[in-house]
Amino acid sequence: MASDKVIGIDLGTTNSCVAIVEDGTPSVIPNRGGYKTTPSMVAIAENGKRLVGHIAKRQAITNAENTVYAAKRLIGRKWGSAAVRSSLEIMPYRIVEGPHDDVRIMLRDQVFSVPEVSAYILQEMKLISEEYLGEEVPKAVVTVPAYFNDGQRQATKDAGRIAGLDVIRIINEPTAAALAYGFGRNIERKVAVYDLGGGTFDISILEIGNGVFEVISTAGDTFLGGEDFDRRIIDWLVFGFEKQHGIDLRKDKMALQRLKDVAEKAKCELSSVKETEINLPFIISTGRNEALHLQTMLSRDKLEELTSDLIDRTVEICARTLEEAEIQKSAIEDVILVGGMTRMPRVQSAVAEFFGLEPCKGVHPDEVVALGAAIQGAALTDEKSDILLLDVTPHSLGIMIVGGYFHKLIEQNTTVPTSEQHVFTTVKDNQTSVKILVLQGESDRAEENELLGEFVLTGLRRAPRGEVEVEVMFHISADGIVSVKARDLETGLEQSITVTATSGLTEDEIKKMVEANKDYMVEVRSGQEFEKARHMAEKALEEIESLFPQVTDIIAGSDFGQDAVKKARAVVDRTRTSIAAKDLTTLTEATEALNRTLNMFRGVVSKTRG
Amino acid sequence: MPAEIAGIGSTQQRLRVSPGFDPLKAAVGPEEYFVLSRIDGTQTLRDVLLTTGLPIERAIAIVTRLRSIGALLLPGETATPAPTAIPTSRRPTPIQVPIHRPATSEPFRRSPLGTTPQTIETHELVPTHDLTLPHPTAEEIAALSEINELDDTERRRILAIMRLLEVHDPHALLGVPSSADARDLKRAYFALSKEIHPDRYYGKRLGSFAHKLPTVFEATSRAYARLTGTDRAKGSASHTSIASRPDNQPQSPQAYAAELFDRACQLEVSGDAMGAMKLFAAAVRVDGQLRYLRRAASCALAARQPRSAVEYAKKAHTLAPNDPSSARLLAAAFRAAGKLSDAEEVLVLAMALKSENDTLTSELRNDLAEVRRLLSQ
Repeated sequence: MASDKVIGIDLGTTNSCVAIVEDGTPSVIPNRGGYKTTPSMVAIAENGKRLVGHIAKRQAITNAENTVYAAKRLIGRKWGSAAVRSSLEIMPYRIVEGPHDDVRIMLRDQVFSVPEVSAYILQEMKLISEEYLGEEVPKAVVTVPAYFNDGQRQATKDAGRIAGLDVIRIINEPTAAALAYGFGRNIERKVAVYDLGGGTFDISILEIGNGVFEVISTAGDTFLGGEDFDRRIIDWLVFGFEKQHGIDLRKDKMALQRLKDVAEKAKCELSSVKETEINLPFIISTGRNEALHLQTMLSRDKLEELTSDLIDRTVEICARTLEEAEIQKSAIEDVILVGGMTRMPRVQSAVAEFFGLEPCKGVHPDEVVALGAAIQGAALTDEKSDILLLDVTPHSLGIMIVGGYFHKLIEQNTTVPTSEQHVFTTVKDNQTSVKILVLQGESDRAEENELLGEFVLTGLRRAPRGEVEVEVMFHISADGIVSVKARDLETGLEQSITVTATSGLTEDEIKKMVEANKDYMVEVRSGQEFEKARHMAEKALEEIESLFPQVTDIIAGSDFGQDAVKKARAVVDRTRTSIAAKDLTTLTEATEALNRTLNMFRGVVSKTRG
Repeated sequence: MPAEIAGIGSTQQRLRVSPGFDPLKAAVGPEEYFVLSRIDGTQTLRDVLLTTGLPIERAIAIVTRLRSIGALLLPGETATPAPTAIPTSRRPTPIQVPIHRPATSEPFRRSPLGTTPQTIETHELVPTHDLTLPHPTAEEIAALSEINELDDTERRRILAIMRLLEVHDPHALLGVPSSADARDLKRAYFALSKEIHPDRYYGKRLGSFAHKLPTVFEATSRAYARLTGTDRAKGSASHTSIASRPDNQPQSPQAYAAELFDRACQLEVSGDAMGAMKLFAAAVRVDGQLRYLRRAASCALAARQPRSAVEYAKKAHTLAPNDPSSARLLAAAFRAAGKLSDAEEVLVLAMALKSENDTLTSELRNDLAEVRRLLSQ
């Protein structure tokens, strides 16, 4: 029988975790081995069998080329992105280009999409919970880093679908952590969630009270996490080895995998001990039938030195996030640490130092996110739940306007559901259609933002530029679904889209579209500004007309008198023309010249009088 | 002066006159009308009572009578209040709602997870909306009786807020008195969110409320953002510092600008036009006087920054429209920026308006000839 229960899944970069709320109590579901977390690893064994989790991890060294880890770093990413490029270098498995500028992974001559690989992990989590509950579990809430864009969220949802899960909601990891932190406690306070996981860093500020969790601000860095710490250790080991033996261990995938494992292990150990031994016997062959060993000591101090800039970066992001949200550091009443990396003593002390308070120790950094996801699942479906999450949109949304600029309609960190509308006008004479490019991001340049979708509104009346008005309406539903509608205010004709998935367009393609679609462009309605400008211009026109006869008399005799009158007349005419054309840009220029002339006229008149 | 008045509540509240109240029809007396005319929505009731000049008891009696005939609105209320449903303090009592139809089978739809419903002292601020929905429209009657999974109170709350959407009173939308502080606002918003956020009805059959819920939530969420100043509308938060100060002594802007100007002059003399321009620009930002503007413009010309040159020259020319040398500077800036016709216009006007004939005139004449030559090319 299918359960009406909803599981919560923390689909992590290195480890995943599943939880459920039963009888009002959230708890983590252990896997068959009794572990509460499962490695986010998928492998294809020699016999073609798919291995997931601990089994995949156990054979990772011997089968490095066919074992996928950290797939989360690739999900929803474009082939040309920096994240993919850097993964190409460090991942022992083969990453190839997909048909839609996406990323595929090649394991034993089979090609997998990234959502497929993630689906295998989600499926494993689904199985773990079904074994535990003894019934089918069709629904899940899955968490993602707060800074995931729509494409990455959609790809995660797709992974759920492939795994046979109905992902009823995607929520942010730090938000989930806050839910678990505040659950069952009657608290009213402002908290910060510092989430340093395997692959990403997130910081969120929430206001908690009466079972309501309001996300105030969220920010982060998708390229900063535990893996970077590991890589620093690997780099240090590789460098030392090369100095000693003149051999670059990176060239050997098997050695690289072992380095990766030992780096991770050493990093974890150094959270509790001051020094650890790194011992990798037979790491590589010299090619003369002789094997070399890697043996060295790594101290906590050395690790902190190797990674101090990474920790500094997280603190900088915290400071920026608080500043942007206009929240005083002192207003934060508690700090929640999430993610395995927060076990590192230096991370804890850096956080404590920055916020000026000891981080909350009550939550388990590996389990808290899954628990929060389960709590949100219950909040949505369980009649008895008294929890409400007021989530925000993590990125600004808007459309591309003339010149390739990005006009935001919904600012980032706006509580959802939300809607916003704005009136735009045509930019060309007789323009009969507009193309609406729906974009997500913070850059002023359209091409630097993520393209979510596009559509064309046709059938506009043939008219001079700026005359036809098009209203664009954005809506984000509580579950984060974006829909956009454009309406011709004259005819009432409408076009709309619901943004479901991202297309695999590159920046270059968007740039090309900017070029190709110039005829479609709209610009921000400048009506109000124009009216203001016209008012100013008309006042100046009135005055200058009244001065004209007088000034003409005075200057008629001078060398350039006739010339000057002609010029002044031309300025007046130019102003009138641009008022008639309703063109703000030329009116602004003309008014400037008009005011200049007026100023000079005034001077002449007053001089003669005086 | 009592702190509270029966049927009205705290005398610290700011009452308003109900827009629908007609004093002629209600046949109020002169004293009553006078008191009514003192109530403007900005003074507290206490101040109103004190400023009527009437004996306090009399004034209170009048206010109570005005309230009973529907002339006065409490903060957060809209027209046609139901006097029986008025909370007596900032912590309002639950409103007795006349039930038009039986409530659904779930009197406690949501109670704290796993426990019996519990009230928490600090969280009792329940938003006050007029759930009696006086004079319901046909649409509202239909919405109240349609088949869906919302209970009567929930429907009434949503409809009551729908009524407020046109009012543009964020306090009324949130159902709080206008005296509410940040904490009250947050509590009211949170309490209200629990009733009207679409997630609270996830997977439910909502009928016509499916569209109303997001609208109502978005409006309250916006009202909350407005009242707490967390509007996401972009503010100009960037304060770029212009240059570091040599010491931490307080300094007047003029003195600071003068100092920048001096340093800029030194740089200009030493041949660093670009560096000088930056300092001139900084000086101009602090103190936009003519001397600085003109120097900044000519320096920008030397540094081949025509756009900046035009900007400063324009400002200088606005300050001294009849100074031929300002006009000449502006023309030179226009010329450098490739705006020849603007340059010509300025020169012609300057020539025509200039009375004396001196070296400057001949320079203007030369400039004009050069601009015209360029124009004819």
